Amino acid sequence: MKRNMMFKDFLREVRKTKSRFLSILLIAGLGVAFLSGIRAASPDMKLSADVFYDDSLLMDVRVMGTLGLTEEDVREVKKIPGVEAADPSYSADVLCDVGDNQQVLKLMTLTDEMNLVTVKEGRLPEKTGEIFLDDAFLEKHGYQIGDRLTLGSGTEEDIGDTLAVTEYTIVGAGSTPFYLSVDRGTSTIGSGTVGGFGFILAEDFTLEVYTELYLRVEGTQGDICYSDAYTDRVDEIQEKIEDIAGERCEIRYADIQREGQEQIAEGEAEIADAREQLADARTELDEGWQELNDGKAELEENRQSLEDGRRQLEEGKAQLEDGRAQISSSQNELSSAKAEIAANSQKLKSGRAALESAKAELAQKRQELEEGKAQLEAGKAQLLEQEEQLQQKQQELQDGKVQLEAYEAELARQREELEAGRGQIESLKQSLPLLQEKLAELQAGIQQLEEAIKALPPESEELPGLQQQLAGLQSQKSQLEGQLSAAQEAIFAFEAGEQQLQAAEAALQQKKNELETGEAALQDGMAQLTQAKEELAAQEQVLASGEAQLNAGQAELNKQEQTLAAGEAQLSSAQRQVSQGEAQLAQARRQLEESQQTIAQSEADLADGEAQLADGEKTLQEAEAELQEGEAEYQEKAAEAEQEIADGEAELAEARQELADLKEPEWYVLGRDESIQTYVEYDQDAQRIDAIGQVFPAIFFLVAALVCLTTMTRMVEENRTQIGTLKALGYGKGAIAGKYIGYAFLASLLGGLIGLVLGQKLLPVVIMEAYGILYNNLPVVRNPLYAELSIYSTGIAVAVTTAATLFACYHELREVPAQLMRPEAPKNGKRVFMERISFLWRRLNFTQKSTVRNLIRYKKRFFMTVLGIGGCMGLLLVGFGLKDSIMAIGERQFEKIRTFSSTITLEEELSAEEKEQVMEAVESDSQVEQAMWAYEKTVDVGTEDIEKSSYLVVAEDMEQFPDYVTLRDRSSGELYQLENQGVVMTEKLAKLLEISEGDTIWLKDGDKERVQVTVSHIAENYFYHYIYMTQGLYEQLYGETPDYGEIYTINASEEEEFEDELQARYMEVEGVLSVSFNSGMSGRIADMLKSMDTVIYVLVISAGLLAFIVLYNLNNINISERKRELATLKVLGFYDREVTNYVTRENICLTLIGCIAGVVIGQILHRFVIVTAEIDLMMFGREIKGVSYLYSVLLTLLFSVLVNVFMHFHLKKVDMVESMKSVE
Amino acid sequence: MGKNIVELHDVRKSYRMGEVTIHAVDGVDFEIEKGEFAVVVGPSGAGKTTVLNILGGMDTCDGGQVLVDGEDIAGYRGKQLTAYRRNEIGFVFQFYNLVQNLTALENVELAIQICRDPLNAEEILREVGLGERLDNFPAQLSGGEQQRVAIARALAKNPKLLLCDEPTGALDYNTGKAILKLLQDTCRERGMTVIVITHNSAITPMADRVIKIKNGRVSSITVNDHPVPVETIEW
Repeated sequence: MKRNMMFKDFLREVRKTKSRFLSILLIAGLGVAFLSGIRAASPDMKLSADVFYDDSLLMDVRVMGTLGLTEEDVREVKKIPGVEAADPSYSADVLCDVGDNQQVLKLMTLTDEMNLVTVKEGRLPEKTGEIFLDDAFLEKHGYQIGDRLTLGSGTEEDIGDTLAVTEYTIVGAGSTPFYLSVDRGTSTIGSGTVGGFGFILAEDFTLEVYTELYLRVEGTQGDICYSDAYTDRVDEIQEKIEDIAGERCEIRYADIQREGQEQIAEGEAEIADAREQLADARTELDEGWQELNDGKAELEENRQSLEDGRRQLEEGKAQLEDGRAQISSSQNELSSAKAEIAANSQKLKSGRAALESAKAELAQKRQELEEGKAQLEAGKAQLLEQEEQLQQKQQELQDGKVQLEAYEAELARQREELEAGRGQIESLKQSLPLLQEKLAELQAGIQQLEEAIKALPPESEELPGLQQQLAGLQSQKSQLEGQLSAAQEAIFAFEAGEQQLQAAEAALQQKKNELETGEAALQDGMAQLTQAKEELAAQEQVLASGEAQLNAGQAELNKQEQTLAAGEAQLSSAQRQVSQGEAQLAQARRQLEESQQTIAQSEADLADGEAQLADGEKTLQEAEAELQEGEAEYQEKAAEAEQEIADGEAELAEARQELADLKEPEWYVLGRDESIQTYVEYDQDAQRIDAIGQVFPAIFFLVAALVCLTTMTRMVEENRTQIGTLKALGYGKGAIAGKYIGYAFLASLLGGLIGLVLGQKLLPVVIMEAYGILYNNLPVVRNPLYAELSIYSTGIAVAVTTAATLFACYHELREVPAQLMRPEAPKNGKRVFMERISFLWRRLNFTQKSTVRNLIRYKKRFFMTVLGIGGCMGLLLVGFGLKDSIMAIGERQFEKIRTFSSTITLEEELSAEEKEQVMEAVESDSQVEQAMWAYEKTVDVGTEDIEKSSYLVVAEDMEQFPDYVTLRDRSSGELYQLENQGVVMTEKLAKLLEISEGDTIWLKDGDKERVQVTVSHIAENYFYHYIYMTQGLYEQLYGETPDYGEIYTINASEEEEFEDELQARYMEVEGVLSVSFNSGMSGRIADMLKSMDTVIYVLVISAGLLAFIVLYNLNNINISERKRELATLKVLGFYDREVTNYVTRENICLTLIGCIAGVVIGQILHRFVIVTAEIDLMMFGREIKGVSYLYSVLLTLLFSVLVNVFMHFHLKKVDMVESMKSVE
Repeated sequence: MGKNIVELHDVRKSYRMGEVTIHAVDGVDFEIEKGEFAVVVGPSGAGKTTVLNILGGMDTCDGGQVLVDGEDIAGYRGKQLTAYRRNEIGFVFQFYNLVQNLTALENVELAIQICRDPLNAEEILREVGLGERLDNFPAQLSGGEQQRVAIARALAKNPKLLLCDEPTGALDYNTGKAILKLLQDTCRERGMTVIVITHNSAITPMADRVIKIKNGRVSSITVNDHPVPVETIEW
């Protein structure tokens, strides 16, 4: 019953003080949510990873042998109990050409029973030459399914030693549980960074032994991978494997020893072989020389005989020439003989012809003679005839003379007659013109008459007279005319007679002439006849001599004929001789031809011989050259071979030594945490969140506890009288305290329950989403409620609240009821320290004084509020500060420290000229403002205990260097110069190595020796680690100038397009391996920042909540504590606003003080968070920007104002009647 | 003596307590003249505190008229009421209601700073006999002294009415008497209208006007033409 009443009272109390209950509930809930949420983030991350690992059957143990693993090894390991599955695999890092770039690909084989890949595109490889590629790699480099990749070795070894096929077709893409993040780890080849992974079939590997063996341990599926249970279970198996490792290694060792011995034996045999071969070669060479010399002698001999032959030939030729001359002369002779014969023959012929003609002549002459005789006879006859004719003619001529004389006489008589008639005729002739004149006159008279007749008229009387006259005239006339014509006829007839006479005289003359001619001719004939008689006699005489002559000619002719016949006979014999000579000549000619042929033949032979000789000589020369070459080669090869043999021997010795030194192989039995990078990194990140989870919730809890404490204290104080009453009534302390404890317990428990659910469900998701940007390969998000964590966090919340309540109760319960029944003695007003500074104090009006006093009077509230506001401000500051710190990487690193624009990396092993060419191209580029050689190499650096890797940078030009990289102290800003005394190391590296200026570190650059060097300065740096040194120091350390392979440039612009263009341009340049830009780095950092935004929102929201809850709560308490005072003020006539101001003034002060506290808290927290959260490769900025302080303060004030606005309405409700009430 | 400074006509006020309506004041009528020392007396729960609250502008009435210096404050709400309290009324609480964190002088100044026409704080405190305790905190003062501070605080505002709610309720007899004397003297010397609310009817002889309230109504109003000094009263 009593209990019931108490319970009822309790319930009523809760109902009555809802806001108080709620505020405890909320603050507890927030605390629990934060604690459990952030603490759960880490296990949730691990759990999510575990689920993913389990789903993809990630290996638990990786076994690697220093000498590889054999089938036998695999079998043996499989036999170990507890090993659920064992899959051997090959892996190798290879280079892959991507555009102008080379990327390192990590090749692995697919295993059936573990490390299942997630196929996101395409399919898994099914046959040789197919590759399943990293999807991130695929996407980054723009490959498509079906594209081909060519892989190459990244070491001096032939790719064929590793891979059977170097051309692969991409058949699929996806992810592997080996990588959670985008980081693919490092490699010893290429750029040193693995660009991606690829899976191929085991048969595409040509490795003799497996490179690794993956194991899954039984029962690990049930364990969370990062847990101790898991580790223990795996450790156990690891130990078991290590147990058999010794034996396996011995076997392997023995095998290798045996193999080695065999190989050494083989090597020895080979060397012996080589020696023998060398000796053989020498012998062969010597033989060759011998042969050459023989050949030379033979050649000499041949040359001799050839010379002889030539001489003989020359002789033969001379002979031939002689023979030819002889033949030629013989020919001439023969020709002349022939000509002679021909001439003789001709002569003979003409002789015969002459003979013949002479014969003919003779015959003719004989005939002529005969004819002459006949003619002579005829002539005699003729002559007789002619004599007769001549006598006849003489007769006739006499007759003709007689007649002619007769005729002449007649003619001469006619003549006389005629002469006589002539006188008459002559007179006639003279009278003729007269007659004619008379006629003309008559005629004229007739005419005149006729005219006069005519002129007279026909009846004239004169007429008849006239006509008679006329008729008289006319008859005269006719008479005259008759006279005339008779005269004329007479003349005429005379003349004709004369003419006839003349003609007859001419004919007579002619006849006389003819007669005379005949007489002459007769005379002639008579002479001729006499002459012919004489001639005939002469002829008769000639004829007789001709006959004699003819007879003599005949005789001569006969003689001549005889001579001719003899000549003819002679000629034919000569002819015979000639033809004989001709035959002889022909033969000689033939002989000559033959010998010429022989000579030509021998000449040809000789030429042949010469050619042969030349050939022989050439061959010999060649042979000699060859031999010399052979000799040279031999010398060279021999040297080489000797060297090789020596090397081989050395190698053999080495091999022997090695074999002797060969340590028994070792197995590395590695768990996930030792062999998977992201496994570890993820764990570290989870731990980082855990670390944050240790701090932030603590603040919340601290605040929550204080809020609960003040709230409950206030509650207990309010219930003072009741407590006294109950105590007076006889209730025990427990019963009384139970109410308040119950109240606090219930509030905090409910809050805790809500908080743990919300916290564990929401916060890990938010955090994992943020990390998801980094661990993009983790598909699983698990956020279960953790019983332990839930109980723990809620328990703490409940315990803290309850403890605070107990503490509050204890104070009251100590007192006796009487005391409790009385109102508590009001606390004394106190003078504050400030009042002693009277000049200051006096300046305050009394409200301000009252505020100051109030602030100092309520210390608990002061402390609480300052802490609450400070916490809020601190959280905000951490949020903004984190952003600043990460931004600082980009801003400071690339705008203040490494200020150059890009790095052009050259291909390895370029000659100095080739490098210079690239440099010239860069320097002549108008878009590049400055360029400088640099040596940038990843090195190992360490102290005795710690080892890290860093970039070693050596700049060629120390003058220019500060334009590219600013070395300075982060806090003081003091600039450092690179000096030969020591290196300048970047800050984070120095911190990781735990060294300070002046300490000594060691450096290991690739294969070079480890060197000791002093760190002279530690410089500000945010991204990656760098060790800067001068060229001088490098030379001092390594004894050589650094092999500059990078060009740092300062470009005209840092626009993305500009850089794309520049990069494309330089990738074309021969010898350029890559071009990278610092702005690219900034970009990556900006990406990282995006994930931080989520964290910042979470922080801002939590900070706001914290601020609100704390302020609200405290204000509530403040109001309730001072209700009476406030009511009094109201009664005094304070307006609501004035009342609010009265309270708010205090709050503003508290908020301001809280902000100052927040700056301190924030800085401490911020430092803690960034140091915890930053990864090894980075240093976050340590400073928070002014603007972040401003934002934090403004946000804090905003929260504060919000709460105060809330309070205003709350204050309005304060009832003035409260002032009337007695103090309870 | 002059005109009425306070007139209540049929003032009513009821409270709803769950399903029950309590008529705390059920038609109260009375007048008080300027400069009078009035005592409102009645048993607990009679409604005198409600009357005081209404008169003091701390509460509103449901009906009737409350004329203070001719102004009907019954219609006042919110700010008007606050202004009324601020300028017209001086209030003396049973439990003094001093701000613990302020000295005596500062407590008076607290009131002064919001007034239009305040009196000098130090003078007032001297007048109430606390000239030596100006800088003392309430906790350093006795109850009587605290009440004097409270009275000084009320007077310093130079109000038209001085309302006192059981001013001696938390004080011992002698101190109570001294306080009452102070109030009476103030009334007489300053011409201040003082209204004292008490359940102690023994002090009625000292009042100019006694208003008895019973069950939410005025049962009687007695005008005492010859009030006695407080020293002569015994209870």
